[in-house]
Amino acid sequence: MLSRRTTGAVPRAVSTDEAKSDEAVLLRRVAEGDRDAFETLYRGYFPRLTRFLERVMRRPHAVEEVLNDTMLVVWRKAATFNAQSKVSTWIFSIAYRKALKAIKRFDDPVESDDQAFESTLPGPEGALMEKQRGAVLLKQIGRMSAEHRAVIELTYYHGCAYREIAEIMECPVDTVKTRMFHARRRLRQFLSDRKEDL
Amino acid sequence: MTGRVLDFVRSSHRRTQELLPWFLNGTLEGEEAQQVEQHLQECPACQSELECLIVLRSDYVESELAPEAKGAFARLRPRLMDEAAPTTRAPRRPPSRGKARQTTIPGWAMARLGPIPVWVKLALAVQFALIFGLGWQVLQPDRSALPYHVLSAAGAPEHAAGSLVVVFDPGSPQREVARILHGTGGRVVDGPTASNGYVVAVPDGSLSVALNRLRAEPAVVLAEPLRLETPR
Repeated sequence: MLSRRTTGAVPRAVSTDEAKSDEAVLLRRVAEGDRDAFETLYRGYFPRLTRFLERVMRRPHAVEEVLNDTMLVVWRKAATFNAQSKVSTWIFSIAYRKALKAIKRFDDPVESDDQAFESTLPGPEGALMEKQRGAVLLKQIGRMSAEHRAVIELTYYHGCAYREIAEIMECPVDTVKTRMFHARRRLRQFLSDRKEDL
Repeated sequence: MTGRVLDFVRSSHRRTQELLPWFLNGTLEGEEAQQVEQHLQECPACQSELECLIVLRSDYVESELAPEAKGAFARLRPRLMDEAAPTTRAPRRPPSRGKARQTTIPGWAMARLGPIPVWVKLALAVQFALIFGLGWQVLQPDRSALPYHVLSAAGAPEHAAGSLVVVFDPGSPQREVARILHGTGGRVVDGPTASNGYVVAVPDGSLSVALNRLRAEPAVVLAEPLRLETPR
């Protein structure tokens, strides 16, 4: 994996090369039934999986259940992990499938960002504060499909390469690029507003 | 020629536009990264788009969650403890304390399967009965072509008179059975039966010797005369 060429204090949430080998060792121990290794892996993945699932499913109340279901699969299937891919790619792939299944299962409406949005409407001065901008952005992204949200989340937050995303989502790389392209198009208004603010 | 150059510029622009998010997150490699960098140097529109994406990413990442793994893992732990270890590692794990497992089906699998319906149980019972019955028939020798007779009956074959019956351990190898039968000095006139028994005709006067020899063999379960030897 290349080092980040571009600027911006964005955390690299997917595995770096060093972490990759550590995780592979951990997963081997999990495959041997080592519960301590599993707990270490669980704690390491908890924040990024929580964030990923929350952004893709948009149902915060269901995130923990889906996350634990995901990690239970990791526990059961650790021995079947194909070392040709990264541990993080494998785990996110399981989480993504679990998230899509959970979304299908739910018949409750998606939790709306409207309330958060309304409570953070810009004041008379007209300048959007950071939180307000975040709320507007989340509202717009929230209107997209789970597939588009997943591409955005995996690219911008988790720092995944498009090939990794294709592997996680089990789709062609061109589909990943197209989804991202359409997502950006839908965010065009937000981006042009932001440009004016700058 | 000019048209080709324009096509190349357009496709390069389009490709760069597509790849910008991954140029931004530093995951483009080799030629792709070089092409994007080169195009960015000469395309103000893509430079502007990249600036927008930097802002977008910054806004997107800002809404950071601060989740707490401790509580969630505590809620997963009971499921983990109930979880039967996968078959690949099952032999390495000691049996869990507490409630003993009554079934070979792991608890999690039972939980997923739910209660087994009555019709499934009935179907399984019928299936087992059929398998058992067919298996029994296959294992029995075909006696339909043979006339029924008792060994001591008047209509029984002549050679049966003055013979003995010997039953071997079912696990005895055929070569061992043949050796023992040969050692009696007689000849097999019937068998093997379903219980691995043979009727052997031995020369007059050698019945007792043959019986003693047979009874000394560990592979022989039973060796009995079919008639009493005529005292001389």
